[in-house]
Amino acid sequence: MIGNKSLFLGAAIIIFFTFMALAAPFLTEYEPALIDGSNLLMPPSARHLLGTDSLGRDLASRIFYGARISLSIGILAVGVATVLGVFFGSLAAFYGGILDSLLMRLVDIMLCFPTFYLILGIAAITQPSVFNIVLIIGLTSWMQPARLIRSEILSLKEREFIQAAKAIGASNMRIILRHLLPNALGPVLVNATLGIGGAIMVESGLSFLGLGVQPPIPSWGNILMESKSTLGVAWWITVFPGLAILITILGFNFLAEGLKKKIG
Amino acid sequence: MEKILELRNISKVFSIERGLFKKEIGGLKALDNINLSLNEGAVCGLVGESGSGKTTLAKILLKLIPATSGEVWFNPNKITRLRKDVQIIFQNPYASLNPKMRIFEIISEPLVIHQIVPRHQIKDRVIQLLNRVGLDAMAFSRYPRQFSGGQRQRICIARALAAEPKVLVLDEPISSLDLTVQAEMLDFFILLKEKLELTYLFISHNLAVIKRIADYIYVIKEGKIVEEGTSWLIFDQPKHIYTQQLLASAKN
Amino acid sequence: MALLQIKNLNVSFLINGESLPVISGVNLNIGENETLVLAGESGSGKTITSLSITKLLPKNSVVTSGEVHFLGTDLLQLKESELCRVRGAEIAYVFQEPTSFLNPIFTIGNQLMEVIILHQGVDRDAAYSIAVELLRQTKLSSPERLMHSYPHQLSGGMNQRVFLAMSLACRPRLLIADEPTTALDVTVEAEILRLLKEFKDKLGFALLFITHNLSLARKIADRICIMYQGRIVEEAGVNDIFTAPRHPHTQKLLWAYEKIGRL
Repeated sequence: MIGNKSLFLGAAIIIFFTFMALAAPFLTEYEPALIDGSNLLMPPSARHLLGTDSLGRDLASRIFYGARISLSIGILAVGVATVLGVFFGSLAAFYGGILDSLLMRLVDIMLCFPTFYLILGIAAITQPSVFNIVLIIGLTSWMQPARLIRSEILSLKEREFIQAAKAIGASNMRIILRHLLPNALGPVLVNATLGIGGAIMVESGLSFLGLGVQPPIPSWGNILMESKSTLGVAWWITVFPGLAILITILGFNFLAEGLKKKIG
Repeated sequence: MEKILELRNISKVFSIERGLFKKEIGGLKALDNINLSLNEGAVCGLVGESGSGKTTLAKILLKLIPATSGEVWFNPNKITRLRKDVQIIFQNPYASLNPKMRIFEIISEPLVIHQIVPRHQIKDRVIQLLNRVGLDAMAFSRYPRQFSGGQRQRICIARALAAEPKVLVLDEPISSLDLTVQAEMLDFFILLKEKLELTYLFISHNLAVIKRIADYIYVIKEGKIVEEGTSWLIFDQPKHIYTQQLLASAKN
Repeated sequence: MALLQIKNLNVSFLINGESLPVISGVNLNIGENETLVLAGESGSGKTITSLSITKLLPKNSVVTSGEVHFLGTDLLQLKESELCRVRGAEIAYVFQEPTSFLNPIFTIGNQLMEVIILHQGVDRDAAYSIAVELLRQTKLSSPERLMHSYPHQLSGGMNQRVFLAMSLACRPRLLIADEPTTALDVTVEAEILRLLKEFKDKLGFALLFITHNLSLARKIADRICIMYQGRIVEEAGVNDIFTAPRHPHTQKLLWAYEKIGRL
């Protein structure tokens, strides 16, 4: 596995941030929401490793706890999208006919909307919460996995081992679950991994605009919200969350590339 | 000798579809009014070149694809469950096994689906089947990619036999294998038939192979049966010009 | 004096830093206008042997030792640029799957003319007539129309005739045919073989024919070399191979041939 550098690098980065998220309480003594009036906008120091924000909250702590939110939203949203996409896509591909035509038209229609603005619009009119964000991103990203699994299954369907499964009496459900999906999920997995990076990006964007995760719950995006007003005086509020987002997304991209090579 | 199954006036047209609602705009006639009957315990040979429709015929026989018209008849006294009593071996051993399934799972699947043996006997039955096709139990946890073409074909046979079939349809089962392996497998097929009292429909373009194994022969060309008869008759006194051409090319 | 002399050829695959021998100690001679059949099962090394002659080896394989003398020159010592002049012009190949070796986005005419212009140095009009004439000689009907067709529009048999035409366009001294009829129907195969024999008699070239099908070998060979696990295990005139095989692998091949290769 070491030979596959992308896979190794990607996995390393993601393990790093996952550890950060899980071990947050042990990595810092400060509460992420703890306001400290006497230490506003302090640059990185021995006491506050990454500095403090305009309310005196420890930035490092907010980033560690923020990892929890950003990573979980990313993974859950992609989970929703993938499950939905695989469900619709595989049924459409397997049964074909009108079902397939309808689904593909639905996909085309959904793809007409510029996704980010669609999400923005929905977020603007709904209650901002972690649950809602996961749903919104999930329900607007199922098209890609659906198309991927559909094209894989369409080509697999005619392969002899599927015909053989039919010949020995396997039911449609058995064929889909035991024969088609295990062989078709490869590209979907790669796409999902990339998608997590994308979902984190979307969540950060929403939170940055104030439509996502609401403070005091920290997310990398809403930490950046402050950076708008403090850019000149407190570079650390922009740089550190920005770096976290950048490196995490890179990590998922590397992982996806590594998986792609492995699946071949 | 009783008739065990029959293809009656089978025709198959592959339609070409277009548009949102998959409207039919044309067709490819793969089979044209095929009549074929298989007697219990016999080896029926189907001789045809590529594109003749022989594989389509096999798939229609097993009801893997529907015929456009005509009937596939099974003797209700002999064949009670199609998916159990009639099995097929495909041509390409590299594509007939699920690459993500272990050999044990592949062979036990028919046992599970048709509940042929109780759960606790599945393992033993799979070992038995592996031995019958000349493989040992070490194959259990391996994947298809770890086996050669000839071995994969044997695994396919074990899978087919697991269902305890009465009829075996063999679609060019040895054509993709090396010459020496072909000869071994042919002997094996002949032995298997005797031992398990099977009925075969053996499809091949290789006349020498058909001559060795088949009792009764159908010759198919471009979707039509052009000649049929006992093996002796076909090889000694071919009547249709296509049959004569095939024999001439093979001998020349 | 032999046209082609392969002396002690050794080729290995390089995988993960390890060197695995593919063919060992191969010695082979072909005389002018002779038909030599290289027979063996898949994996015996016959294709690698034939490709090594003009150093057309796949990426991870390398010639570790040996000589290939063609008309007095050791081909293995030549530079790539010099070899290019030999390939196609002096030594031509015909492979199993003509459709995958013909470029799908160019017409048949285009590809034929390209070979002719490259090796015979004539202009486009002359090349066109030569190409049409070649197609006509391969007994393809309406050669003019074929010039404007694409490979996917033709059947396997027709493409193989085109490929044959391309290979013979430059009057090579040696034609290497690697399983050229394996993917074709038995009636088409008979025609292609007949065509090959006609061309050989008319143009005069040596033929190295690779196959695993002994009944085919019997029909066309002057001599047969049997390959097994990367070595040549037996070499004899066609009649001797069938009447008095010596090596156990040859005997096994013949046993199989008797069972299923012969009507």
